Amino acid sequence: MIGLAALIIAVYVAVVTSVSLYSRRYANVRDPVDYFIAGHRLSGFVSAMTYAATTYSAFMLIGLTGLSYATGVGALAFEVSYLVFTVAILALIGTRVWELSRARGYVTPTQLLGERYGVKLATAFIVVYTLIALIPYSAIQILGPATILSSITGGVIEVPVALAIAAAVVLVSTYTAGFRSVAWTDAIQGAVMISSTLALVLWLTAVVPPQAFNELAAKDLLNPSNSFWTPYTFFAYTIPWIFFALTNPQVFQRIYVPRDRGAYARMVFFFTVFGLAYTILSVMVGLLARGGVELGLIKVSVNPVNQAEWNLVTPKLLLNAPPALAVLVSVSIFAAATSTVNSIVLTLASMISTDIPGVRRRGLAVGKLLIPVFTALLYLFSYLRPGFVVNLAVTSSTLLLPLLPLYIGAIYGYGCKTSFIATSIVGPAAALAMVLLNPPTPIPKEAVIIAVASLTYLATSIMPQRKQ
Amino acid sequence: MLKIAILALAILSLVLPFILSGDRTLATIVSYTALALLTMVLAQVYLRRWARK
Repeated sequence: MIGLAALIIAVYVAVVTSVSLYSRRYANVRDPVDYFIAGHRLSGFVSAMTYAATTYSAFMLIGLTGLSYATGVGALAFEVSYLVFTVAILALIGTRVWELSRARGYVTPTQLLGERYGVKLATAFIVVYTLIALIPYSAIQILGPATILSSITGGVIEVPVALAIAAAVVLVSTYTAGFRSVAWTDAIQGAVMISSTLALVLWLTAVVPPQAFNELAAKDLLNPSNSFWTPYTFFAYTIPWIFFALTNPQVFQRIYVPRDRGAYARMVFFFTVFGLAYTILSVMVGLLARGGVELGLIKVSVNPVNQAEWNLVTPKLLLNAPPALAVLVSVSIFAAATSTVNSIVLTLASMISTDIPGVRRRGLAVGKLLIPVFTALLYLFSYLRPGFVVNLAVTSSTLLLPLLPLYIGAIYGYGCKTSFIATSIVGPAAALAMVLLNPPTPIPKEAVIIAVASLTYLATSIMPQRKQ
Repeated sequence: MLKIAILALAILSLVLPFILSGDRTLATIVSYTALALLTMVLAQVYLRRWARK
């Protein structure tokens, strides 16, 4: 097992490195627009693969699979709601964002805010706030595959070593040719993610008979609104994700990259196909594993009632799988994680180098310097081992929720300096208060955050107009 | 009209679990797959029209 794991990981690292180096031939690494967003010139398919690989992270085969295992088919409803909203946003709002990026030559999402509202200091604050919000989200991405790799090798490859391999892959795929190396390696990694998850489902269907679904039905796991998936819980999980395409800069930035309108349409098409397939497969892994456990065919020693154990479902399930498949799936989770983190690292580097006053003059050099700095920071943060995967990922998205009215206002030309500054202060303050204090609220705290930020934005947008 | 239909499907995805409440068959998987595919088709029609502009 150790030898096989080492071989497959070595092949994976070699392929990512080779593709990164090859992509450099097509990149102009001295041009910031080319380095940070591939010069707005990617094909629809590569745009879709980098969008999908950036969006779909280790959360899918660790968090979502564990959630499906413990809570049933409601997890599918939660994740497909995200997909449907994202497709709607990409079609109805993303098209306008793409047009703006062409007309104004935007490189970063915060550049849109800075230009629309004309407040450099508040824009810089949003950049820093986004950086802080994305640290937990990124850390779990490296931690997920490291934990699994350590688990399937019986602890021979220790978590810190696995973390170092993940960090090295992130660094190489990001630094070598910027967005091009990220996008090209994302395309390869996306293919690994979907094919290995399909192989895992095929193995499970061979092991677990259809009667397993009777067991799931008996435990109310085929009921999408069972005792776990109450309306409150469903919306608490769903709200941060359905606006993910607008509030998370690493995916927002990907709207800029298709080379023309046809490429943009193809990006949305291939992303939807990938997203739907990967979502159904990840949920099926959880459901089939639970069915197999209930029938006594698979051993996954996870207590479904204990939420802290849910992220252990996939690692423990892989101990039942044939060794080659277990390693392949582990590498696919590695790929899912690194393909998300490399995008975040490059996007954050581009935002700081473009939107922080005084940095822009040496923007590209600063951006390139920040890539290894961020990678090292993420390694250290993941080494501290934060808690349960789903909650951390949702926390990060929750912190970014107050930026929603700022982006929508900027896209459609609403709002003013006052509304930008007021919402930049009140929105993040409300989000931080909700996350840190976790007060009891009659509606999900995510809805409260959006309401507070939106009302602040609207109220301060209307006031100056009345004076006029 | 197309915009409203896409938006309606997105909102439907949020209430579908409660419409299917109590169902213990595989209806959720089938319903959500159909919902996602229909959204994809409508979005593509909208995007292809936009791309021809």
